[in-house]
Amino acid sequence: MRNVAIISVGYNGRFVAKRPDVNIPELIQPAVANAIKKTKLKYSDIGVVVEGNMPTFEGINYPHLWFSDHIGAAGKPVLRISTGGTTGMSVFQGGYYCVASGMFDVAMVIGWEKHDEGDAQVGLIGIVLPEAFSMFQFGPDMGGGGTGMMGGLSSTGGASFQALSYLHRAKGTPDHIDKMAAQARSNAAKNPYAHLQHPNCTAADIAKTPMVSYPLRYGHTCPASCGACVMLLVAEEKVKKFADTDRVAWVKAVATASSDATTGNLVDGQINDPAEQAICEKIAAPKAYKMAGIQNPKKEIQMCEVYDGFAHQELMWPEKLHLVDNSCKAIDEGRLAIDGDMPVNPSGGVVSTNAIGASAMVRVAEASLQIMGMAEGGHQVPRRVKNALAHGWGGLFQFVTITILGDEPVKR
Amino acid sequence: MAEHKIVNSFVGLQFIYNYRVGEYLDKYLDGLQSKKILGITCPECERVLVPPRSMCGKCNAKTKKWVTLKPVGTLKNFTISHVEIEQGEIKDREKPVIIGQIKLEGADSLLTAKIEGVSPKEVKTGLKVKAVFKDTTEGTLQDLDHFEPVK
Amino acid sequence: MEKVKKPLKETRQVSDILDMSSLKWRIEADGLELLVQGFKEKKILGRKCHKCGSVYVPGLSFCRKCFITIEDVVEVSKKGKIACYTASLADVRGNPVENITVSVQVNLDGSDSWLMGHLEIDDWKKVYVGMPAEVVLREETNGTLADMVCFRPI
Repeated sequence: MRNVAIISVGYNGRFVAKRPDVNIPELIQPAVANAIKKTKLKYSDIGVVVEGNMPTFEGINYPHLWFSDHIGAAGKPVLRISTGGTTGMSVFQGGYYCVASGMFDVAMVIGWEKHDEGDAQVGLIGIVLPEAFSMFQFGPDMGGGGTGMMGGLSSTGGASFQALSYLHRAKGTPDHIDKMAAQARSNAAKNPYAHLQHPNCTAADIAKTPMVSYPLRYGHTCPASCGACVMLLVAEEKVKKFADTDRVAWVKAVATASSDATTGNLVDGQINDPAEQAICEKIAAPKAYKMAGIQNPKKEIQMCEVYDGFAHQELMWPEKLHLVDNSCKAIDEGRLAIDGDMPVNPSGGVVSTNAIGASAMVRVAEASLQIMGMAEGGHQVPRRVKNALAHGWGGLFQFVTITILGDEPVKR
Repeated sequence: MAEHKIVNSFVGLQFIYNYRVGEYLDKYLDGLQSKKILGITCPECERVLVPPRSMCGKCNAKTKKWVTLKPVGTLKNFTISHVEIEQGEIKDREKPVIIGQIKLEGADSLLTAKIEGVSPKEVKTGLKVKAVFKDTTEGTLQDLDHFEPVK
Repeated sequence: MEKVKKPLKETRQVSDILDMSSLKWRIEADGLELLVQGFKEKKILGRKCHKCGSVYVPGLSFCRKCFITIEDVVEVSKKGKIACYTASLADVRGNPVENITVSVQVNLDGSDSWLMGHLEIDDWKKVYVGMPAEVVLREETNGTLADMVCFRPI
C-alpha cells in the first residue's frame, strides 16, 4: 500500500444559502479550478475523479452525467459514492483507495450540495425513509405517524434523543450545548468560507433562539448551504512533482464502520441509544489509531474536525473519538477553543456550514489546511499541528468515518 | 421458519425542485426569446458549442466568445418517434414525429429538435433545414419550435 | 467587517416534482405483526435471541448482535423506565406549536431495546431520564397499532 498526500484543497467560494446565479455544474467548477490552481498539476495528470452528494436533495440521481465536462473527467473514470452524511468522507476515502492501491497516481475528490434547488427538510424525510422502513421491521415509533415523523424520525427529532441521552451520560446541561454552539459560530466568523458567521457569539445569544425539540434549540442546528469542496490526492512518489508546497497533509489512517438503520447503532451496548455510538468508540476509532500508529490520541493529536450537524455532537464526538474525557467540563475550561489544548472545529464546523455532500469532506479539507498551516482568516490553530483527526457521521447515526492526517508519512 | 409478514408501503410525499439554469443557459434562452440561436466558443480548440456552457470538456477551458449562429444547418441524424409518455403512461402518437440532430452552420455540436415539413418516409440525413420559432416567444426552450427543410 | 455584497444575478428556474406516492416499497413487518397480535390479548410480545439473550420489542426475526434467526417469543412487562425523551416545541418549518408533544423511548422491564412512543403528561418539564412509565392500551383491543394509545408516567 502506498502513502497518499493531500496536496491541495479548493472551495468554490464562501458557502451561502442561495446561489440563484449558477446551475449545479457552474457551482462545482470553480472549486475544481481553485484546487488545481494551487498545484503543478494539469487536468491530464488526474487519473480518476470520485464525486458525491445527497441523492434526494436536488432530485438528480446522476448529477455527474450533467457536470462531467465541468470537472475535467473526459476520458477518465468517474465514481460516485453516496452514504448520507458521511458522503464527503466516503468520497475522499474512495479517492484514497484509488491512489493507495497503486491503481492511480492522482485522484480528484469532489463533495458538493446545492441546497437552494430542493427542499432540504423534505429531502431529509426522504433520506429517512429507509430508516423508517427499517424501524417498521425492528423497532418502530408507536406514537402513530405524526409524532414519529416530527419527534423521532426527522433529523432534529432523532438528534434531540441523542442530545438528551448524551447530556444524561456526561452530566451536562443544555447550557453546555449553548456554549458549544456559540464557540462554533464565533470560530466560523474567523473562517472566510463559513456560512453562518457570528463574531464573538455568546452562549446567551444562542439561548435566546427558540427551542425546537428539547434540548435542541434553533441555534444548535445547522444551516442548509450551497457549495463544493475539492481535494487532490497524490501518491508519495509523485508529491514532489505535483505539489506546489513543502507542507502537504499525509493520510495516516482511514477507518469506517457501519451499523443498522435505527436510532441506535447496534454492535455493542444499549440497543436503540443514539448516544451509544459503539461503532465509533469501539470499532472505527481504535482501528484508525492503530493504522496511524497513534498510542495516545489525547497527546499526539493537536486538533479535530468533527461532523456536528447539531451542536451537542461537537461535545459528544470528541469523547467517542477518545480525544476528550468529558467535553462538558472541557468546554467550561476553554480547552476546545482554537487556542485550547484540543481545538474542536476551528472552522466553525457543520453547525455553521452544511452543504451536506461536502460537509464530511470539508472536515478532512480543514484538517489538512491546519497541517499545511494554510487555514485563512484567523482560524489557524496557533501551535504546530502534527496530527489532525477528521470525522463524519451519516444515516440515522449508523455510519461513521474517520481520517487521520499527519505532517509526515507513516513508514509502512 | 414461520412465513414473513410482508406489507406494501405507500409514502404520500411530493418533492418540489427548482433548478437554476445558470448564466450561460439563461443567455441562450434570452437569445431564443429574440429568435436568435447563440453559441459559445472554446478559446483553445475554437469549437462552437450550442447550447452554450461554461466549460469546454475537451480542453477543460472556460468558454469565452459568444456567437450568433445562422438559423440554418444540416440534419445529421434522426429518429422517428411513434409513442409518447403522458404521466408515466406510454401512448401511441396520433402521427409519428421526427426528432432530429442538426448541425447548425458554424457550430461544432449537434442541436436536438423536432423536424416538420417532411414526411417520415422522405426524411434523410444531409437534408438542409432552417429553424422555425414560435410567433410569440417566452424565453423557454420551446421558443425554438422546430426545423423544416429549406426550399 | 462584512463587505457590501452585490446581489447575485437571478437566472431562470425550472421546476420539477417528484411524486413519491407513485412509488411503492415492500417491507417486512414480522416484529410489528407479533406486537399487534399480542395487543389482542393485552400483552407486549417480543423475541429473544437464544444465543446472547437479547430481548427485542418489536421482535424482529433476527438478532442484530449475533446475525442469527431468532424465533423464541417472550412476553415483557408493560412497565419500564424512560430512557430518553424529547419535547417537540416547533414544527418542521420551525414555527412554535401550541400542543407540545413529548416523545419518549422506554426501556420496558424484561426488554433490551427501547420502544418509542408518545407520553401523556401535563407538563413536559416534569419528564426525566429514569422516570417510571407504562404502556396504555385502549379498552377494546383488536390487533392494530392504534391499540397502543400512549405511555403514561406511573
